[in-house]
Amino acid sequence: MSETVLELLDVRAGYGTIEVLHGVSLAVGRGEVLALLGPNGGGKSTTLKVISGLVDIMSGDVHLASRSVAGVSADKLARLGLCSIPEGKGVFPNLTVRENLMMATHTGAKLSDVEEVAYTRFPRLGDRRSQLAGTMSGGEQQMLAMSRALATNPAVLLLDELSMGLAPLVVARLYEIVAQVAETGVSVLVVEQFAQSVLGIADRAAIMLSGRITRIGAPAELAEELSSAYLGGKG
Amino acid sequence: MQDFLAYTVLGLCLGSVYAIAATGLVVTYSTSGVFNVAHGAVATMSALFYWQLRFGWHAPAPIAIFLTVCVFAPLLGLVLEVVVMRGLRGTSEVTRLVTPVAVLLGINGAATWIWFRNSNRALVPKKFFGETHVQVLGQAVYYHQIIGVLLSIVIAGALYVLLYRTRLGVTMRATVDDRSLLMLNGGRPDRVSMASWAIGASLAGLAGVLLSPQLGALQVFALTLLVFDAYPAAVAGRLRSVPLTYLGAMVLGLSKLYFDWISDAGQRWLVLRNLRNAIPALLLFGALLLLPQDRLRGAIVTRTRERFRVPTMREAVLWGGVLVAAVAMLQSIMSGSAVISLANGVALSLMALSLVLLTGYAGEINLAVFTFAGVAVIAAWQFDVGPTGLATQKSLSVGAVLLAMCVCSLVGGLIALPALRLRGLYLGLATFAFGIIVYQLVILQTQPLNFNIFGGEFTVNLFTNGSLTVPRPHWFGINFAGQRAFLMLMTVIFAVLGIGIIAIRRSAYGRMIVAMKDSPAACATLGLNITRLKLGVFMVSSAIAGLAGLMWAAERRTLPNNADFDGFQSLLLFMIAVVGGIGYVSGAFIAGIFLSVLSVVMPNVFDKLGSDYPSLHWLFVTVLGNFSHYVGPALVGIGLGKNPSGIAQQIMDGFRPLKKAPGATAIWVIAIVGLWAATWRGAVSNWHFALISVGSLFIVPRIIMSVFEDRFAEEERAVAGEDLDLIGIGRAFRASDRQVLDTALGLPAAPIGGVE
Repeated sequence: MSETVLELLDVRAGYGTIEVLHGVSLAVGRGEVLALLGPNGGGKSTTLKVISGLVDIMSGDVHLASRSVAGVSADKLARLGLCSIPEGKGVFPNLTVRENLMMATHTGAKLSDVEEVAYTRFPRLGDRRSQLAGTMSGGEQQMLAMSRALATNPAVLLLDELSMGLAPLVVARLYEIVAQVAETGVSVLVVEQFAQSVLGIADRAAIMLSGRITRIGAPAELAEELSSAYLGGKG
Repeated sequence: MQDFLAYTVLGLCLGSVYAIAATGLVVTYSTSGVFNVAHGAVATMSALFYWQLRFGWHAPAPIAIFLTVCVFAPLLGLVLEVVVMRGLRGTSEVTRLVTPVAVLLGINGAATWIWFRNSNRALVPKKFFGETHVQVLGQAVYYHQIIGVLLSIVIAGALYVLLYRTRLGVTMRATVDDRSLLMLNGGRPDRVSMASWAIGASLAGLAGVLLSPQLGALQVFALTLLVFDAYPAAVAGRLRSVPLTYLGAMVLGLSKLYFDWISDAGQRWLVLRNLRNAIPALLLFGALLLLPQDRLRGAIVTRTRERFRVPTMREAVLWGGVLVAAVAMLQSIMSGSAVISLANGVALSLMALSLVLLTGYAGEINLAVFTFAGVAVIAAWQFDVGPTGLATQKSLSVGAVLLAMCVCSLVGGLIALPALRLRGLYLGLATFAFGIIVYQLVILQTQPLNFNIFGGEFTVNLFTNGSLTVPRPHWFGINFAGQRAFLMLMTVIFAVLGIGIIAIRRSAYGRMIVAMKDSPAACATLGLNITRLKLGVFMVSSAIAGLAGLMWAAERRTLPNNADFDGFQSLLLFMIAVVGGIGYVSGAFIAGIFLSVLSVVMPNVFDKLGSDYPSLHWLFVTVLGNFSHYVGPALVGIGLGKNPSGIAQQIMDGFRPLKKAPGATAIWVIAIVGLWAATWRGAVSNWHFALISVGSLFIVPRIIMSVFEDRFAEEERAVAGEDLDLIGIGRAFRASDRQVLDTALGLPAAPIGGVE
């Protein structure tokens, strides 16, 4: 693995007194796509929330570019180059497409640059720049979320259930772009419940069950373990 | 025609000031999701601050206006956001409505304390440029009004640009959409919220300064009400659209002025002379009913921090009996004046009880409880007392009570019927508007209404003489005219109603109304008739409010048509009921007692202390007495964000150790009863009894907790992982867990290994 950009060290975290992550350790290298897979309720989304600063850790540490960022607020992390697209489209439904893109300028980007990159990558967004994001299709909303995220030139990109509710063709197109982004040196951590959609682009994959990483390795090596994880086998 | 045009010009001038006030509300709501009921109070405080600078200390007008609108009001907004509103995240709509109500009462209380505590001072603000005016179509249009129009145009344009063309404005709107997502994009929602509250408060301040000369002399609640008049404009803009809000404000201003024109300023039809004051409420009610509303809330159920436990029927009956016994014991050793305070508290508790069913269980809001009390009193008075009513009696008859309850139930149904599609804040505003309409057109109505029905003359007297006298009951051979007997009657009614409400909650109907509160959409998909449910619960709650209102009126004997009905008392009661614990019958009781103690008992106590210790008069009367009277009720509401489930929940949590140490608890109860007996026989003074018994409420649970700390910790360790929420998650579900769950849920426990 190339130089480590994002690292979780024995992280325990949860909600209130309930611990959801029981000692999670992970590392994502520069330009690497790591797929975090597993069935519902395994703690995948919580892991992303911990990394992005939305959930506090109980113990352990999170490193971004070898620097501890545990306890740093989500907005500060975003300005440090950690970009996240949460589950459920990640757009502001009552803002127009252009206004959504304007939110990317909080990290220092210029609106004109953000718009240019977004409309070049997804021309359909350009046609709908004055439309409310909440009135667009699921695929278009995901494109918008992705454009806004990528416009900030992130060092790390966190994607939560990118494929949720989208047509297979749209999913394939979005993951193609994720792969292109990773090639530019961006570290990508993708959480997916539907493993097949992401394994094609992932450099490595990890299986998460009941708040623990049970296996990590090349996608091909994990095929058998994946099926038992989803089917309720021993994992 | 010239008159029409002249009144149109004046209407537009008035509408412009309403537009400033309403756009302030819109800015706050569209950027924080909180409907700032305290907007009027901020305006009032700012107007008083301006008066102090301009006319009290004779500062030049530009400096005074700058310090008020650009410094004082925004600072007030900032403080509100940081200290109060920030704590409301994750709370229900009821809590988010109630906390600004508390802020309103707190600010108004503070304003009264600062500027009006000693006497009825006449603070008379003057218009900008005094009486200088230009003649427009024969009507004088003051420079003050022209400034208002110009400012409103500038502000509307600036706000539009801010909200839709600048990053700050777009970020403000994004904060309401998804706060977490904004943070993930590097935005700072806290700073944005502060900015929006500062802007909103600044606009409120400007509106307050511009509106205040209309009053002649400044009055705290009157000016707040004047700003309330801007609500329909904000609702017309659906609390989001600046242009529609502006339009709504113009319609409002024109309506008022056209009414002045056609009614000769209210002198043409005496029965309708208060209609002008009711126009904003009528428009608000109309706007709420006519504007498109959101569809049924979808499958995503909003999670809130409020949690209410449902007692078992056995517990309900037991605690009902304890309440009656405790009040009986207490009243026997209390002085006459203390009994009056307690009776006042129990009467208010009864009124708060109607909100437990409606708001606590069903999640609907009624901001006009006192209005139902007024309606009940009018109905019962016609039946029992009115000289041309159906009967003339010296005591309150059962028939009159039933009639009052039926009338209130019908009125509640009539209000709920058009408002059925409204929820939460909008329903609350609709009931508030209804309260204002009834206050202006019915309660303040001194003209008797004559009807000719089937050839017979029939007169309905409203508050013809400015007040109505309500006799006390004489039921079951018992005369309840005495203060102590009437207190016991109210307590028994409270206990019976409370048990009845808990029985409703535990029934299938109760489960349906709670389900309706959680997710109307899910209920609709299950085939539940939401309309019937909502209507039913509103009618039952209104009937309870009617009965409670009648008891409250009978407790006071003579009920004037004064400020009790102008909306603020209903707001205060609603707020205190939520603070007490809107999901608990005990919360309603706590609310009534709390209100009585804070607004009556505490000031009296401090007055007495002040007269007993003249050297400390300034501390007891000037500081503590005024503080508890003016600001106390508000402060408890402001703290609601920290504990949205209310005081009842806190008390239950605090008393939990007693359950684990029954022996120690029994000794404590026996000691209190012994102390009461000693007081009753005169061996101990009432003052000492109150001090020791109330003090022990706070101290004993802590002592028990510390003495048995080791034992409790051991028990807790034994049940570690046995948290009900975690059973079956932390480990496999066992048959014995079923008993634990049944007990906790109050279900009849099935034998282990029984029905599966």
